[in-house]
Amino acid sequence: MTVGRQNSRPALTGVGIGWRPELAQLLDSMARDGSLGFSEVIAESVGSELSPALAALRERGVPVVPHGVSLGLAGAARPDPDRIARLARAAQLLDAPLVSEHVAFVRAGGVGLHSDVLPAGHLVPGPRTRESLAVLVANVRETMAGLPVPLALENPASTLPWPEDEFSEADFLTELVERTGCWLLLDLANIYVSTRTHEVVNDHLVNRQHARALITNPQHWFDRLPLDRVAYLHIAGGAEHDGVYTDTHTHDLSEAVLGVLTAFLSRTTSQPGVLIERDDQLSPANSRQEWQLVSDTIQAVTPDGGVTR
Amino acid sequence: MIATATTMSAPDSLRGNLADRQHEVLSSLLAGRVPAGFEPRTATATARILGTKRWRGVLAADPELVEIPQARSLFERYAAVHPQPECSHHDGEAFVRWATLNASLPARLAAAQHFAVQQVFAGRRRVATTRRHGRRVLFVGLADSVFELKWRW
Repeated sequence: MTVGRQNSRPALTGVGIGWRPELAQLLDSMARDGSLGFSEVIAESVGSELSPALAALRERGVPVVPHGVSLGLAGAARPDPDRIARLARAAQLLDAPLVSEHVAFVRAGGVGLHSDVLPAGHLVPGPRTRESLAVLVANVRETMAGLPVPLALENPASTLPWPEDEFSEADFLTELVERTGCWLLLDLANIYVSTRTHEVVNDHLVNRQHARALITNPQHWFDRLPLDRVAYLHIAGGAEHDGVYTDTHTHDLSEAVLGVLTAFLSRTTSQPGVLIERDDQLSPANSRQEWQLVSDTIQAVTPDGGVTR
Repeated sequence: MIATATTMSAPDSLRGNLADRQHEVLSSLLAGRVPAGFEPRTATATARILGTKRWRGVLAADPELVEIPQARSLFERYAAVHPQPECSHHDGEAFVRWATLNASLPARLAAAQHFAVQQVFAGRRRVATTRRHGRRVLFVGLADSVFELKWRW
């Protein structure tokens, strides 16, 4: 039986900037001049009504995607129906073309021996095994059934390879898409994090199965992933500490991460929208500069493609 | 690949096994330990990220915690033996109580003063004094309000 899926990629194009109150004026200005492709807001921050600034952005026709951070779909417990309902309400309020979440767990336990819940306070990548995939698929299907729009799932920043990993990240995501019909939110910075992490782990290999689960080249991701199922992209800055690279969402975009964007665009004729994420060291000037950098990178690879809506 | 099942459920045994495993690994990371079998540098990096996020969470709930000397390193010691609750505010309160018993002077005194101020805001104490940004501050709880009086010097 083939899993039903929506065949048309949700309409997100151009270069977008993640919604932050500090950037409200900039985003409004970019919406007015037509340069802002789309935006994304943390779903849990959307209340029963849109803030005036977000409502204005929507009135100017800018798509805004609610991006959830609390479902914990890669966790052992079934997704919380109240959290799914909240995500659905955010999608309806924003009239969003889709919603997004993560292939990660945010709390451990809540099932069986561990009825107590241990919060992680972070999006933690889980083990990539046949068993964990079965649980993830069930959680994603249940979530999709409760949403009025398609769901895109983001690859996490994998600084934590598990010794029992059986799948590479790309193969794990491909299986997930095939079994559920979900879309992908491909985080290019997180791909770079993973390749750098696996270079470190290569020095600590415990078995050949583990070695097969590692990918140290972004091109390998694009060989395996169903690129036509990428709804949109994330890109962000990061930094290295003690030999491990992490996506900090604080530092400027690096040549290496922009290189992953170039590599992706070179492999597909579709041009999903690219959203720039930044959580700290925010300034309108910096965000505008990053938008231009990403736009120039896209233009260099796809000269006939535009970056306006 | 063609999916062979459309059921939404996953066997309870799979969920139980996954819960046990994630709980085991997360507990180690939150305590600042490398879980067995994990590569040390990447696991340590992840533990550091978790610790930083937890600290930022309690700071967001109570920014004045930074007035406690060596608050960050004290918090790391506290976090290593205290699982993170769902609420960062409660986490911060528990940290301050812990610091009043386990920190050395002058941090212990600062924590005790901070705890006393928390008790005023909780309605369990009428008056407390502490130092904020180098100035002595008096907190007075009256009815449903808390008044803050700052010394000029």
